[in-house]
Amino acid sequence: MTAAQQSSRIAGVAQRWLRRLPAYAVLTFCAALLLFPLYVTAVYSLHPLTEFLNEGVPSLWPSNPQWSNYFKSGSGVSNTPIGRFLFNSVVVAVVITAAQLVTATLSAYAFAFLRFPGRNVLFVLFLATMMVPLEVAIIPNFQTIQWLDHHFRTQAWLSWTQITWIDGYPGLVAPFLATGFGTFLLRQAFLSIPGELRDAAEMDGYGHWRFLLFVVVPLARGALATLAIFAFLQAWNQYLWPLLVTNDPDMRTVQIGIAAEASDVSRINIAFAGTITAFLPMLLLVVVFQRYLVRGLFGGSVKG
Amino acid sequence: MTVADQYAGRRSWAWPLGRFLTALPFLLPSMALFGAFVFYPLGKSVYLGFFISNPFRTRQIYVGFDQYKDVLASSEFASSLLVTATFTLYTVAPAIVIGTALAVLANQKLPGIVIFRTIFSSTIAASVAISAVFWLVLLHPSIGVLNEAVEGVGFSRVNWLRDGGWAVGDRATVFDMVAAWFIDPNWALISVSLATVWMNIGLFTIIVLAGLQTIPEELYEAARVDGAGRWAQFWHVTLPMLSPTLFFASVVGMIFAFQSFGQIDILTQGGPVDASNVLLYSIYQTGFEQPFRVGAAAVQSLALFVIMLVLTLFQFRLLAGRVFYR
Repeated sequence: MTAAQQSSRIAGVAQRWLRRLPAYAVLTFCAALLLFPLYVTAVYSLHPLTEFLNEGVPSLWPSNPQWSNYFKSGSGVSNTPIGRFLFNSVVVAVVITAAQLVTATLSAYAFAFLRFPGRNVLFVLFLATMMVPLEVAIIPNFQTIQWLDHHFRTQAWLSWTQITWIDGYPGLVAPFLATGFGTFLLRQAFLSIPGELRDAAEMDGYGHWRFLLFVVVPLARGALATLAIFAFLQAWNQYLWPLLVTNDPDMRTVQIGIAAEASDVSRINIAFAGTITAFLPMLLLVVVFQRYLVRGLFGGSVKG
Repeated sequence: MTVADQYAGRRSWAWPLGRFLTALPFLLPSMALFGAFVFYPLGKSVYLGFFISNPFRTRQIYVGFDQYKDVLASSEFASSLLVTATFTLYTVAPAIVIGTALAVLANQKLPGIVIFRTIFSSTIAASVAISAVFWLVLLHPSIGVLNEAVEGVGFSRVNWLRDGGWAVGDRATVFDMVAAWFIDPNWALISVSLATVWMNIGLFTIIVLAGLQTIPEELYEAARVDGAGRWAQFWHVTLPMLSPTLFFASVVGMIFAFQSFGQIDILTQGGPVDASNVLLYSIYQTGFEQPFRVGAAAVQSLALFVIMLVLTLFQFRLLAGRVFYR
């Protein structure tokens, strides 16, 4: 390659990048605007408290970063560290996700592979549950949990179990262990499994349970992952239900926890640190599992 | 009766029962949970609506449909419906317009575009509480930076979270309300909407990006052959082809709007004077704050249920166009 050729090549590359420059400028501007609330909260989370007591708005640059804000706890209205809130949220979200995977896999299997009287009516009923969001049922559901809590505290034959419904994990997870959406999603995936496979498995002496566990579940990994990320996100992001069934700060989930902290001006920087701490794991999760998320949004009809 | 008839009789009764019993263990967990936490509560809500309790909650008084009439005809209910409708208007349209713009931008073929796609869809990771705190930081009366920007551009400061706008009387016409908006808008509701729009931008960007992938490249080539510029391509190819996706997104957005609670609880608590009191927040206040009017809250819940039912049925219809049923 001669020097002239090389320099014209470089010029071509440079020209191409120059043409792209406006596009990148627009993209960067939009990204900066979108991330601005996150940026300001992140900067505020590093300020010492004095920064908020001064006249005027706190600096938009962390000139004196206090990383210790991220590890502080035990002052102010609640003595509960953010770690405890996070732990509660992880327990609640993991239990709900695992339970939904199990209950939805079982019911989807019945709707996809079994023929039984009343199948269509039951399937419509399962779909109908998607039209009754929890928000609509909070009053009676809260009464149910209250009733359970009362009986588990007062009846000797129940109280030995030590299960608490109000201010306890059972009450936080109970209404969310089954899912119409998940059943529908998994049924769609199961239906794409060829019927010959079922016949072959039957020849090998597989019953329904073994076929489900060793053939169907491995083949429907993608749909199961989609359901898992949806269930986890929804459980993690819950606000109204945990607000109703918890009074004890130690049993708060992270959403209720940071909301309570943010209302306390005397530890506002720590509240902001908690908010960032709660946001980052979800951000990572969403970025890593995004293609499953897209598939779930369209009821499993998009190949992600 | 022949033997064959007997056999057929057995088949039609005993075998279906056997098949049902085979299916039962698969279905029982979900059925029990749905029964306890979905279907029973619906019936219970209808029942609760027939009763009022005295302030000390010691006695339930049967009032029949009177409570339904009172609640649904009350000005509080009308106000919460109006606020919810306004909130839906404020949140759905802007989030879809911004989401579409960002998705189209992030759909260009450029090196490193994946980074921008990730950033634009990242707000889906933010929960209501997190988004509300992010915006509290911007809108806070003393530490909020947005007022600095507003002053910088030459406008006067806004009391974002505590300005419910200019009150409109009972006999207000639509014209009165629009006029009132220009004199003094309902900043509290706008603030809650800002946090909500920001939170939903990521979701709508993802939905529209998925919709963009389904538009065949040949359409753009044909448009280019016809001499269409970028803008013309967007208006005459992208937008018409996206319309089912945008329609779907708007229904999802409406469902979200009617389920909104956390951002209102954190930013305004429904105030000032119900200016941002959407239906769900009103249910919460009626049922879970003094004087615990559980029956009235149940009636409001049923109204919310009917609205959600219509919206969800609509969403299913839209999805049915995409999903392959068997």
